[in-house]
Amino acid sequence: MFSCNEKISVRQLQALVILYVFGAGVTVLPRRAAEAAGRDGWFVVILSAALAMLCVYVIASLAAIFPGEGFVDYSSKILSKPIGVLLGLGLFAKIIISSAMELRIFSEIVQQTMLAETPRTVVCALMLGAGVYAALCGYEVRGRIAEILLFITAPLTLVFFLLAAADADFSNLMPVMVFADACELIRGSVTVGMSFTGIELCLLVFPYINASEGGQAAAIRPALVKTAGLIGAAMVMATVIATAKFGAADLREQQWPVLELMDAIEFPGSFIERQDAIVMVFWISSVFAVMNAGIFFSALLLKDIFKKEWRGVYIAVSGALILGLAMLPRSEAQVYEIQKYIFYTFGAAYMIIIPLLIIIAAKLRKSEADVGSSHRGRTGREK
Amino acid sequence: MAALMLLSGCWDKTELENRAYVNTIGIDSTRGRFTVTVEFPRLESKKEKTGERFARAETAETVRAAMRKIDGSSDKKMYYGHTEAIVLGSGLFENEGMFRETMDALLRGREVGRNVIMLSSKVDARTIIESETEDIDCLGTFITDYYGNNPPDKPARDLQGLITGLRAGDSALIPEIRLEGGTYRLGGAAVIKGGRLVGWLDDKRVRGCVWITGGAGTSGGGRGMAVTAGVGDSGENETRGTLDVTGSRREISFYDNNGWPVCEISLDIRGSVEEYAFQSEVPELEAGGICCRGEVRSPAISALGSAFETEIEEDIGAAFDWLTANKADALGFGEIMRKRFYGLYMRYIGNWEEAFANMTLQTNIRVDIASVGAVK
Amino acid sequence: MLISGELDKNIAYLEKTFKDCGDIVKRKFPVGETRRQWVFVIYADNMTDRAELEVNIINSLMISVRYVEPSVEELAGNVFEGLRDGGISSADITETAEMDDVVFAVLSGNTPLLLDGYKKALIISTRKYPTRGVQATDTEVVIQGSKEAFTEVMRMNTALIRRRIRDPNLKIRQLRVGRRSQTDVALVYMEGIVRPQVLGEALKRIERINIDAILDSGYIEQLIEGNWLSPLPQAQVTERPDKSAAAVLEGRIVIIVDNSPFVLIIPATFNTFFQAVEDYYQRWGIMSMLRCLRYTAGVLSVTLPGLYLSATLYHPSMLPTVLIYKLVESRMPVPFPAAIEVLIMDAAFELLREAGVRLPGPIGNTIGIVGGLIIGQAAVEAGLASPIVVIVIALTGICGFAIPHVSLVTGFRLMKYLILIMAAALGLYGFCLASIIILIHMASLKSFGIPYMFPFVSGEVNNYGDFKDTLFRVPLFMMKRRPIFAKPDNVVRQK
Repeated sequence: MFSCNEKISVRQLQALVILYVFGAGVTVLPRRAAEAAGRDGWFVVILSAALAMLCVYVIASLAAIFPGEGFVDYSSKILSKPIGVLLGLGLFAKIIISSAMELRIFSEIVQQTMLAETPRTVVCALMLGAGVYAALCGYEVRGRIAEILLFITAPLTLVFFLLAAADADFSNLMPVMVFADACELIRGSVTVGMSFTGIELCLLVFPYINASEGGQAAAIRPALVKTAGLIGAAMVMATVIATAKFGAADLREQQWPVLELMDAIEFPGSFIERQDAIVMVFWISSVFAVMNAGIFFSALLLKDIFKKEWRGVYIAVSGALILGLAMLPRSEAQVYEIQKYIFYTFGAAYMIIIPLLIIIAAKLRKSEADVGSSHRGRTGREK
Repeated sequence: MAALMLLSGCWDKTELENRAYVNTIGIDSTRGRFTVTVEFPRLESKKEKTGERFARAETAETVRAAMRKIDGSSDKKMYYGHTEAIVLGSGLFENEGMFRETMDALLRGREVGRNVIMLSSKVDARTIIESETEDIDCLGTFITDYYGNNPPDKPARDLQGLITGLRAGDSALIPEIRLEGGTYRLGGAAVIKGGRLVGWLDDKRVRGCVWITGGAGTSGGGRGMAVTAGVGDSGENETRGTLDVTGSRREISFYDNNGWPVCEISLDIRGSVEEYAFQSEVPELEAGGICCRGEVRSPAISALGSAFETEIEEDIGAAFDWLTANKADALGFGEIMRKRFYGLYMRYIGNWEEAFANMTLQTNIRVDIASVGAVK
Repeated sequence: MLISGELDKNIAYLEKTFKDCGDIVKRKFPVGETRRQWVFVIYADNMTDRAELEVNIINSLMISVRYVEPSVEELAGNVFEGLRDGGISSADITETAEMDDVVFAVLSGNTPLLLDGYKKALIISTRKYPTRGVQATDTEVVIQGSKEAFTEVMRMNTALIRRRIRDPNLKIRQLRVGRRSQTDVALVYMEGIVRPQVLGEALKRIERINIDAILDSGYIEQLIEGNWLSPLPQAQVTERPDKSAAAVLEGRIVIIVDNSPFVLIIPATFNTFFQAVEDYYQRWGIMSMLRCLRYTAGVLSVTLPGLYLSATLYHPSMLPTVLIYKLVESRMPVPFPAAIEVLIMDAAFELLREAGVRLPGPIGNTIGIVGGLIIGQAAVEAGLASPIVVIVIALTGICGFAIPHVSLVTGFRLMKYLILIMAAALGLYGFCLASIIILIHMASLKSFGIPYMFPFVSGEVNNYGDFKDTLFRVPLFMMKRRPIFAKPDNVVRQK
């Protein structure tokens, strides 16, 4: 706080993760859950949440081994420099592409609900402009903004969900778990896990957390796991309410269930007739968080790879790339295809496979180093 | 300068007064094409008389084409965000394809909110909307106010409810609106199955439906309803009364009987009777013997209670019989069975229609007259 | 330049320095019975206390000293010390050997005394400025509480604070800023409570100032603030001694500038601008409600025109049907697009506000009423604006007035335009984006090391204790710890 704008506290990290993952994932989550398991979609979401918590645990364990180090740095250390750089580039590509797809979907939604005739480029460019501004200000500002936005939007969202629940027919969830087919549920949980994308960004944050050096892992790991749990709980709640309100059949066919949910709420007193525009406020903030994170972390990766302090340049490049890629797909269906592809390749890789690899390699290296040093120690005494 | 340019017009900006705020939409089918009627209020800064409204109708191949035609015929942009009611003409129900297409048009386009009230009419929706009535601002507003201010024995059905019902059992109930003597009247309902009209329910049957479903979709099932019944032979010896329902509890269960399902409906109704005509003066009541909760002391009151029970049973029976006779599961019996009696449901899943047609009803109705008002 | 031993040389130098200064008075006179020791006084007319000068200095030296042992002749050789210790009955005397100090003393209202044959001068404090005395506050009026306000004399201001904190740890560090004005600037703080980094930073920034003259505390505020591009103020400005004393007790620093009745309080966070001094003098229930109201007013004063425009131009579905019909009817006779209409009325309102500030007393009030009522009404009748826009703009202005600190409101007035333009161009999307941009900006501000949006961000640094005084104010007995401004090891103020 009294330092320069580069370190954030664990609390702010939690706020950032919540805003990113929940905002990016929740809009289509109920539909994916309904597609995977119909009425029992909520159970699938619970399974995915568990998976996400596991991934986060693995990722945060890296903090114990490499406190305060950037991703490219520690992967270079363990897996040799070229591979480290390659991994960094891969993550860079993943972040850019998924941010671009997210932006594209968002602009589609804005076009359909709020601004029918404004060119998509303008919508995207303005959102990216805000993201660039925030990224330029530094990590600490990002953390603070996340705290403020969460402070404003979380109670609102909670109220909306509760209002929706008041009106929902929970018998739509019955009969519960009658068709439970374990394989299908597990397969479904991986598909639904797509909605938890964003967790792999935690690989990059270790140098920027303001916890005491030794206590970094001790502070980060439980906090992140708790956050993943919280997000999971919120997603489950959203799925349950959406299923209750619309029924699994209708839910499967809705493009953006959460949006429809917000639209279908009856405000007591009914001062406001249709409130889908107001709900967009929440969503604009979370997409902003996503864009912001995308630009910031991709610029960070570029800095780690090229080792030069051209912050403005990196941010401009990332922003331009994201804008360009967002304009490319021809239709929304294509966007979802791309997202699925990216998730099954890069996403899964960075969420769990690569962290595991790094941990295993680190443990191997450490045991080698132990043997080596004890050997040297003996020879030293002999001399 | 840049600000001025931005402010004078961007891509999406529409000034308030350049929109026409559609209040009611009516959809009919005319010789295989759609006729859409829209109604919007006339808004002027200096109004000579209030309550003026415009109605425009256009015919085209699809619903959306008709809407665009209407838009084209007016100097203002049609805005559907404030639409309150949609009236479906009976012609739509003749043709399954047309009905489904209408539903599709309403759903996919997001201009109309899902809270709009759906109504059906025996005549063309256009006639209903274009009619000149007094004291009414706009039909849509009238309808929403009506449902807001009146007791629930006339159920409201909104677009979301209609869609849920259709998806669940392909059968739905759409309340009816009629023109009678220069004013609008809401009562009765159309029953749709598979996109086609099966028939019309009268007020009594609609009441029965309300008893079965426990109210107009929201909590307080049955509260505010009223039952009128009489005991004894009509004429001078009759004891009549009206029960004002204050609360009710409904339970539906199913069981099997010789291969066909039986639906058992139990209703526990509580209410008060505040107007009655007695054959003779009843001494207990005069002496201040007000009935306490749950305990009816006077034989006349208990007789009245039984009369109410019979009346309700008849209503329910009428509705049920009609629905089963026409094989239209508009109230969602199948859904209820599927949700709570899954094992039983699986038995009939192959031929639910037949099972429904042969479903029998068993009712247990209990009316509890909690108060008879203040003592004279 | 050193003082010369010869009085005439010194006098010649002073005459040259103060050539063409009509308000500088010089007097050369002998002391002692034999009248052989020459003494010279020089002072600025009307900046000194003539009575004290004549009684304590001239009378003492000329007359009284002749009747007191030892006489001037006996002191020969030690006249300087003798007169200093026995001849002048003033309470505040300093010695100096520098001519610059003598010149500065004259310009400050003090009276230097030069003796023939000695290379030192005595500077006697005889300051008495024309001043208006302690008066009631104009800008921060309270119903229950002290009505005193700071004045232009720095010494009186420090006295007003000192009176309220009778603690020897209350330190008043004085500096002189401004090459030609040599304005006295005092930093008032509590040793042991203030954070040393903040104090160090403040001193560093003030010492870095290199300017001709400091005419008002506003100059200091602008020269030491961290982010000059921001429309939001980073230091509080106040006229009230009790508020300054409270701030000092919290660990903040009060900067008093001579010739300015407004003092600066640093560091300042966003929350401090919503705290009015009366909040702590009345009971917590009503004051909490007023605090919430103030926050709401603050938010509305920035967002209301933008919300109105985005709702009516892009999302009429947000408003109830009946309201829409009324709005449409009222907008029909207006020829301008809604956004231009809002801007016109807003410009008119700002003009009225500016005009009302400049006009003297009664006319200013009348213009306010006339402008508000009649011009607003006339505009509606002429068809230049619809009534709802007049209400929206008026409400925005009133919400601005509800915020205790004017400097924050001026910042809001600027930010309101950004939101207005974005909302007019892109509806609720533009409104949200503009709000996010403003929030980013506020989140990036720091006031002397403390985040501007504290405690809404990083609240856990102080265990969220600061929340006890933000949107609402908890009862006094619950406010046991000092806010973030205080040094972390000295936070308990109440047990």
